[in-house]
Amino acid sequence: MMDRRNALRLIAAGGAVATLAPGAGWSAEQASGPARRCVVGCARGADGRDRAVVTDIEGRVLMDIVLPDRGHGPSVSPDGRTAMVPARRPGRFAAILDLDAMRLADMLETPDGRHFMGHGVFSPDGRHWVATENDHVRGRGMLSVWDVKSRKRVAEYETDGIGPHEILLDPGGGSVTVANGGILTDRDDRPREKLNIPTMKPNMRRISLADGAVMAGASLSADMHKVSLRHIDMAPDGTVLVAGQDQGPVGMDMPLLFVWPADGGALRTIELPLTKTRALVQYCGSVALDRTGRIGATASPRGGVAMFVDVESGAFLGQLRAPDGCGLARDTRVDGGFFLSSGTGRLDAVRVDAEGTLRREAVSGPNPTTAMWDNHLGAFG
Amino acid sequence: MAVGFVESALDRVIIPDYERFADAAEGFATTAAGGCADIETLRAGFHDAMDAWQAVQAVRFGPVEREERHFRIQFWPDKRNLTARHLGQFIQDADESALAPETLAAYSIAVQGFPALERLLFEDAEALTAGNAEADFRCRLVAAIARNIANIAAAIVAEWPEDRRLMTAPGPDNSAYRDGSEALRAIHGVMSGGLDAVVMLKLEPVLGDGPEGVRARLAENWRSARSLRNIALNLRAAERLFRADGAADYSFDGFLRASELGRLADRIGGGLGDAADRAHDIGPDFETAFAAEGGYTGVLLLRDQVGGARGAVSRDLAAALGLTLGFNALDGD
Repeated sequence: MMDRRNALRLIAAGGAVATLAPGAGWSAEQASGPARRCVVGCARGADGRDRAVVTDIEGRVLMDIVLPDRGHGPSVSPDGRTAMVPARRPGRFAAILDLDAMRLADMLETPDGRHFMGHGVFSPDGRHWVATENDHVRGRGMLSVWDVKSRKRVAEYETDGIGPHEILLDPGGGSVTVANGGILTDRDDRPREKLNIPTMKPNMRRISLADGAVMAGASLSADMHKVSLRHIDMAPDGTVLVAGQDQGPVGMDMPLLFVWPADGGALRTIELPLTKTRALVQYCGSVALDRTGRIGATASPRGGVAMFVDVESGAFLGQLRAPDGCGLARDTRVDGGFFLSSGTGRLDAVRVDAEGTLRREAVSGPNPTTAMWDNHLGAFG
Repeated sequence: MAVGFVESALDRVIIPDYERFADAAEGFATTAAGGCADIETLRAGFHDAMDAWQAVQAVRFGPVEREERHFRIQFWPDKRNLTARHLGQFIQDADESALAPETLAAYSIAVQGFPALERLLFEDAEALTAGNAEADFRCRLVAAIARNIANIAAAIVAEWPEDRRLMTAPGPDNSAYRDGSEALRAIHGVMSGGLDAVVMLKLEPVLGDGPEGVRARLAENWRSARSLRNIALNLRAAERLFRADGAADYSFDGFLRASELGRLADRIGGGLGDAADRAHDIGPDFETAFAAEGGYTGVLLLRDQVGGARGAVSRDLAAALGLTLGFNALDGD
């Protein structure tokens, strides 16, 4: 393994020199890479095989890579030329996708005793990729840092929590924000079984990429400790929208959407009307912010619904019927723009305005490659 | 093919069931407008309306999904006791103007539907006939809620033709139902979702950890002593939808038989019918069921029977129909 301290200095330097706001890599004009706007996600084909797929916004399949098992959350490098697709937990592979050549470049594998948790993010210079992992011997959440070019795992840090899931790069690029879902898993025989629901304590952490130090943290009040904080998106100013999955009993109507301010202060609850909370069936499968950071979206495959909120006021803006809908990504072409995918194979472009007017256009319907879209989407190009 | 299933399910079962619900709700509203002197007649009207509602309770698309209608008709489960809190406040305020239909319809969902009615008619019935000012207000609230439910039901029936048109005309310009499988999935979801609710909301919480740990007050409608009657009605409704009320063509039952899956058809249709019979026989409520010899075991058996039909519907029937279900919902991350 490469010397840890040097690797980290590289990341920190990248953060200082090539400061890059989240999403800027997607909106910037690309000198190379696909000319058309694209989405990347995992899908199961009509043949039952799991794959990583890139389509353009006309729905044309540009890349179709069969994976060893279900992949999870894609991340795209700032220059838009590389995507990483880690396995769904408790998988140990991550596919490196070459978005110039639209081919599989390589596969990473976690060391023994570690597995991916499904999400990762690139460093600002694109040289490193930071993923959430689990240390399943000690039940600790971990971040692993990979050198994308050499494929080496160059460092790891603790996430200061159990069950880390989605991770994003903070503005400035020197730190990451991680949602520690709080759920302990990894029994040898039943690796996805939840082992600590009565005592789970999810939290949000901001962690320095220079030394792994916890720079900020927040958690929910004790009465909400069973709301697993799992999925996050970040506005250009660093405000984080957090979406949860309530592991508690049915009918308690626990809030599921929260805002973590950019200053790392306390989590603010988005108080949806009771019926809207109930329509989410205790389960947000993903979350996204539009390019302005003002409109938030979450999809509940269990409720068959995608819901849109005003992040600042917390107001409910509208909802769409989306059976098994889950994947959401920012559509950087327009304010209030999102891509929405579902397990029924449907991929739509959705636009929401501040009054809650919704427009929905088909990108593609089910086809042999994307018979079912898996949990998450990314957008680039 | 999909459109044929959807038409037959809507025309033979779902829309007629909503019409029956609207009729029963209208009948109850008329009764309730006549005052509260005869509590037994009021209760009978409540039961008729609730019987009809239970047949369509599992439908979560179409007109009922707009304007919070489902929740306004029945907000349940209610673990935070919103109904008690909001109803208590409402009665304490005794605001006459809040009884007007359009005002009540905009009030808390917890006071404008069946759960509030059930408390007024069954739990606190003495307060309804005490002959004082509060009793008078309570009585007029019963009439107002009954009228509200009837209005919602009538609106649902009035709007169904447009929803029917959307569901049976899938296409690129139809953003809700782009192809036939999306409407078919919704129809299938009435069965699978309804059976999920029977097992997960109506049976499992009540069964608790064992015979000593039953929690009969987590049941739906325990106050009106009809929890198992509801389940029997839910199961009958699922069975009728499965058979499209006896249609040979374009019923799920007929489709499975034509596909040489007669045993699966028997397992679903027969299983639902047997489970409905069992729920009926051990009912009408859990208190009755648990008081009988072997009562807990009887409810366990019911749970297993419904569970078997539920698995056959959500897994095997979906597969036979070519529907992929719950890739994201069932084992999420």
